Amino acid sequence: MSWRSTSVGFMVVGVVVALVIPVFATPRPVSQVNLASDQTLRMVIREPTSMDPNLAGDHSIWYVDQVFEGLYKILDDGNVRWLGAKSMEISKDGLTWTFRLNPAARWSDGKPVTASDYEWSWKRAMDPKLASDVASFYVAIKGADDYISGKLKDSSQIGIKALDAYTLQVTMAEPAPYFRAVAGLTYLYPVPRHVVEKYGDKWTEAGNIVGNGVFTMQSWKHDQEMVLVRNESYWGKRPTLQKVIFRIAPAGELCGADFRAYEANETDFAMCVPTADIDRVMRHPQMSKELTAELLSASQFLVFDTGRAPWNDARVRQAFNLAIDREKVVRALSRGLFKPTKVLVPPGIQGYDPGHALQMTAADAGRLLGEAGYAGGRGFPDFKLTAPDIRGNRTLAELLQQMWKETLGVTAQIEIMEPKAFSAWRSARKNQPFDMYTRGGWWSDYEDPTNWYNIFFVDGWLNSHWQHEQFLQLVKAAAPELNKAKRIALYDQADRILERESPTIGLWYFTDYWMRKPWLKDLQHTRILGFFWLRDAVILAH
Amino acid sequence: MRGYVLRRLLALIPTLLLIYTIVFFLMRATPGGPWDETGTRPVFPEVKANLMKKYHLTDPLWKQYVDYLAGALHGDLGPSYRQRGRTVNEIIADFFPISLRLGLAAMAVAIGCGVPLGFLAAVRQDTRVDRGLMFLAVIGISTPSFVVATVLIVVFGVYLRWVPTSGWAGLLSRQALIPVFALALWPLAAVARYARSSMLDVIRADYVRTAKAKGLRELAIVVRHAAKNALIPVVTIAGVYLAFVVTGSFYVESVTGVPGLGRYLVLSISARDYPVIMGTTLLLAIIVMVVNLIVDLSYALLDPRIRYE
Repeated sequence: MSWRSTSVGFMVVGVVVALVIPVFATPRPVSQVNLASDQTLRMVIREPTSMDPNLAGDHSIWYVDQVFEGLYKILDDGNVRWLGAKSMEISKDGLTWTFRLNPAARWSDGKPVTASDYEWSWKRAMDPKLASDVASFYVAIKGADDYISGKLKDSSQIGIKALDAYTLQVTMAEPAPYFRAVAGLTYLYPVPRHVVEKYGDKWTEAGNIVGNGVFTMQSWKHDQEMVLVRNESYWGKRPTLQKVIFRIAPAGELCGADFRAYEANETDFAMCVPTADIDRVMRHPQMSKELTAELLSASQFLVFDTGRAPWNDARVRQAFNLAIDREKVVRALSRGLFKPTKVLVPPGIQGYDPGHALQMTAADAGRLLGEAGYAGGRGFPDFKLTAPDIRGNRTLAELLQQMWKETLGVTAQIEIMEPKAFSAWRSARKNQPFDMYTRGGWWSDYEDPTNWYNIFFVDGWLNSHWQHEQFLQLVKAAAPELNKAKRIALYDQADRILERESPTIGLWYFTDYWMRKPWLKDLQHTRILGFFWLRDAVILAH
Repeated sequence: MRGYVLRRLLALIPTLLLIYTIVFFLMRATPGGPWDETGTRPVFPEVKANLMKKYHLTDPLWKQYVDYLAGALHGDLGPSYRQRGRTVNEIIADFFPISLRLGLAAMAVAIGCGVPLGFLAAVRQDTRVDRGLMFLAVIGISTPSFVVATVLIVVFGVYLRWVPTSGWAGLLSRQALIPVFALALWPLAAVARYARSSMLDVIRADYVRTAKAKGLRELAIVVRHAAKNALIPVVTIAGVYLAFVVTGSFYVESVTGVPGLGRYLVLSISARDYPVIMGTTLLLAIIVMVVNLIVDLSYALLDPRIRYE
């Protein structure tokens, strides 16, 4: 069940929503004189689980993004950088989306990228036989749900049509403004049909793989090294970088391997600093200048089971919320590099407003708990905080335990679980009681409020058992709303209720700790899932 | 002798079947499945259903049990769930040789250095040499290999920059130095201690005293007469370490970035990648059993009194 299927139909007044989005100017060129003669970027990555855009749903998307490109990319400032498409039009009723493709776009073997490539790829991603977990990004499209679940066998019934070589028409099941944020994601990048059909499962191996991005894969020794080189037949501005060497490190030790290689000057860019090394880096005269905390559209939060006492009383939840010293938590876990927040959703998501946070202080926490009948924590039932053993949750749980003890006089039990066991436990909370949990946070998959409010509370994915009628009505109405201002207003109203009621407690926004050598310039970070955009990066002489 | 080897090999079959059965049911009894969310994104129920169907996890348990076994007997260990498009056979073919080479190199270092050092300590019993060597051996045994690897990387990789901080470029490369040494240290120390105590027993034996009385040089006595008998306990312990080391050390492989099988097994467990867990476990079981057999057979070579019928 997806959030759309539960959203109420909303009549759309005749508003023409023809999106006219300015072409985003490419960043200023760095003077040619300063460039290093060897434009090779070296970095450490994790082994991709797949280089197939129709399958890659985890960290692999970062590397897929270098070898392939989609219709467009939405940058952090909200601007669209057109890539495979030149323009997009949406019909008045919001149901028909027409993408005009860029006729200059080529596969790296010289064949043109056509609308039927997109049509074939998108249907492939949904194919139950491929069983790809990125299929969930297509559910807004007419017929997608049924095709994915196997109810619909005939793929021509899906609302994706190549009208001609360079026109792609997509029909939605119902208005889905959020698709604008989805259509540019890696999960919707095209794959070369002629290559996939020729090599089957092995089409992504070096030697076979054909992409349409600014780089092509030169070699891939599994779990050791992947080398990308500039795609000289790319249709647009080619990157300055000629070569990218990914050294592949094991998942368990990635952060340490990444940072040590950087410190030993073996790499130009590191995407991680082990927590234990942050202090040293910050004190170091040179390395402190190379470290940046890049904000992600991602937050960490606590979830209550609001379906039962004492958590069904908003005052209890508010008291627990107010008793948390977020600055202290963030200092302990990230040496202050995460960004504390009192609200759930991150900047960039409509509805976000730090002003919606509870306007009270820790001093009010005890009073609220007293009003709920537990003055000084007396008579408060035993309760448990459950969390998976990832991302500092153990420390977090202990800090919270201590803060609640001191401020509210209540004692939390802590249960830390192995990550997969936690997932199974959490899924089973759909119809079962619990007290509270925290997980590994939530990363926006795309920058749209449906990715937060609707998935969390309408689909009920959080299993918080929070049934606030007014809130649910607002977010259900907002999801298909085509009028942008109206949509923002609805989500804004919903967010006020959410923060006042505190069924969840926002703790911090995650950041990527990036280290860039002084000679690496113009490497952009995107706050959606922390992509690194190598296409504009340059290496200065050093 | 031939009959003995045959019997031992036949005994592998019920043992492997038992291991297969235990691992099969233990994996499925562990909470959390291969497609329970691990990242931040929910896996849609329809998609999960498709995945379950694709990999035959919707079949009845007995059928899964039989089907996988049948496949394994035909040499097909199944697809990896996590690494789309790769099979367990390919993963083993890629990674096992690396673990094997690394392990053999580490054992060569461990035995090559451990035995002479142990013998030296025995011959110089209760001198400074002996105490110094045994002190180092205790440190070697009690320091976990990942600590050794990390310290070596920080010192020789980050500060001195003599070797790369991680990665793999074959056994005959600078990258291999740290993993080989980190992996060798523990067995080296253990082998040295066993070699010492075993040599101490032997040099008190009558025939050694006779050799001394006849005026043979100490070195000749130790090398030509005592060493062979002193090696039997060492071979036993080296066999145990060999099986342990060639099947890959998760910690050393992870810290030093060596793409070996040990690290793969651990990652596949946390991903609930059933075929990879099963395939690698069976492979490791076979190796341990075969190494044990080789150790037993080597006793006969070292000691003519031992015969296998």
